Amino acid sequence: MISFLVRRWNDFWFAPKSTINITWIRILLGLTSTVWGLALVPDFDSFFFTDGLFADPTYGTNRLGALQWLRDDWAAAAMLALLLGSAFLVTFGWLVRPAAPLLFYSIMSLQQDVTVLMNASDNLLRLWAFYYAVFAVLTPSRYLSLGPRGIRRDDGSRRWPVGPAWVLRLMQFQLTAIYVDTAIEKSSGSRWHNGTAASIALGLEEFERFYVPDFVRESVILGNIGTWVAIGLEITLPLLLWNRRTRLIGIVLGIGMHVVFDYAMRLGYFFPGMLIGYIAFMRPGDTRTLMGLPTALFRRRSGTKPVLSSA
Amino acid sequence: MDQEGYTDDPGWFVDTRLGRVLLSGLAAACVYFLVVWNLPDSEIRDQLRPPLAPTVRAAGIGQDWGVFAPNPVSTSYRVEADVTFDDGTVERYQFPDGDPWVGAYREFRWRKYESRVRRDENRRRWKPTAEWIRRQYADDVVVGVDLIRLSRPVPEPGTGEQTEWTEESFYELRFPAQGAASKDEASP
Repeated sequence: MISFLVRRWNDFWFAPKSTINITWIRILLGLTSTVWGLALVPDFDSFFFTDGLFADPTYGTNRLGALQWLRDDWAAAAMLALLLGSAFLVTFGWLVRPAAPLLFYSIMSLQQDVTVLMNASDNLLRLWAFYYAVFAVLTPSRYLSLGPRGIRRDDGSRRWPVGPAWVLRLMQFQLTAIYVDTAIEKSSGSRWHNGTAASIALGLEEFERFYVPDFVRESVILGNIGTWVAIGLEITLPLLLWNRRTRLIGIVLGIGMHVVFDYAMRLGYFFPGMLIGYIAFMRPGDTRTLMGLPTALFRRRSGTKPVLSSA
Repeated sequence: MDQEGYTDDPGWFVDTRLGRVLLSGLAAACVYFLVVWNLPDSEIRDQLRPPLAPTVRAAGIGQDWGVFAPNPVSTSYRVEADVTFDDGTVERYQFPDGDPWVGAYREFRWRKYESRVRRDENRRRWKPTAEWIRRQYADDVVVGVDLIRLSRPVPEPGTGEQTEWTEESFYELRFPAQGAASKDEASP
């Protein structure tokens, strides 16, 4: 019995998997971190220099962000340079084992210096950087340096090597925890019960992004549907994603929900952050299956036999 | 080995007994942390969280996912400032804005700052904010900065109601002649 459980445990965490997920998570993490750092540049002196808004930031106990000890402007600038440099290396798969921990530490250091400016998307980016940094330190560097199309064979074709990918499980648990936590916290909210939460959120000026017609925000019916679809998905996505049969549906619905959120509201880096979590749930062939879905549906409607690659 | 017969790297550390034991411990600890840290407000969370807190804070992995929870706030807020110059003219200062495409990734931090600096519990940020705004007019002689809190209730859906912005000055900082100390005053 114990050996059975140990085997199941080892299969769950340590069974070799295609490295395509790990590679694309690394690339997306690097790119998102690069944009995150570059977006700070126009306001960097206001946020981090001694004559800026936070000349005397307060740190909570046990924080290890470097800028609490290095209060000079050059230190903040060096930290941003470290962030951008390590994000560049992580994106392109160079020196990832040292670069990934540096990326995490530079993100954490900058965030802890200006916590008042941070939202949940910043936390998410930092968490992905943390998980990936731990993985990078404990994983062969061969897997960390793959390009976006895998390894090139002698005959010119491409393949993805298989290898340990235990960090995907941590990322899957993290994504699940986000939905479970937010669903629990919203469960006591009257506006999520009466279906007005989506309309109210869309009406908040500080979140407005792209055009949303007035009738969408003012319609009680559309507001009810939007609210209950959102909370319904947040409750059901963990179940859909962990079930083999519904995993792909969960990925499509979840990413679709975050596309809508990101279109309508300024949520910072929440969309790329959640996308990283969804990549952890994907399997080789999923992208091809999804890309082929419209064609398959069209052929089905026109009576032609659908052709789909298997995931 | 994969389906095509290629030998793949078994993984340094991961494929050793010691590595699996240590990584299993790490994985179990992370899952335990995720469960405990994200428990709803409860007695069990109050019991289990404190022992984890120092490690979680040091590792920088604290988290809270209460976005728009339990309800989205039902009022829009902005913070602006009336900047008074030595000739008596007054200019309204607004924090940076951005386009919805690229600028959105920069300016949401300013909206976040406005939403937090307006609160009374953040009054220690009022003076640095007023001084910072004064420095945005380096070529002018600024004699005063008034921080203004603007708020507008979000109309209830289906009512067709139109709501207006209301303003409230919540902090004043005066800058006397050069060399003298500035004088600040928070509105009651």
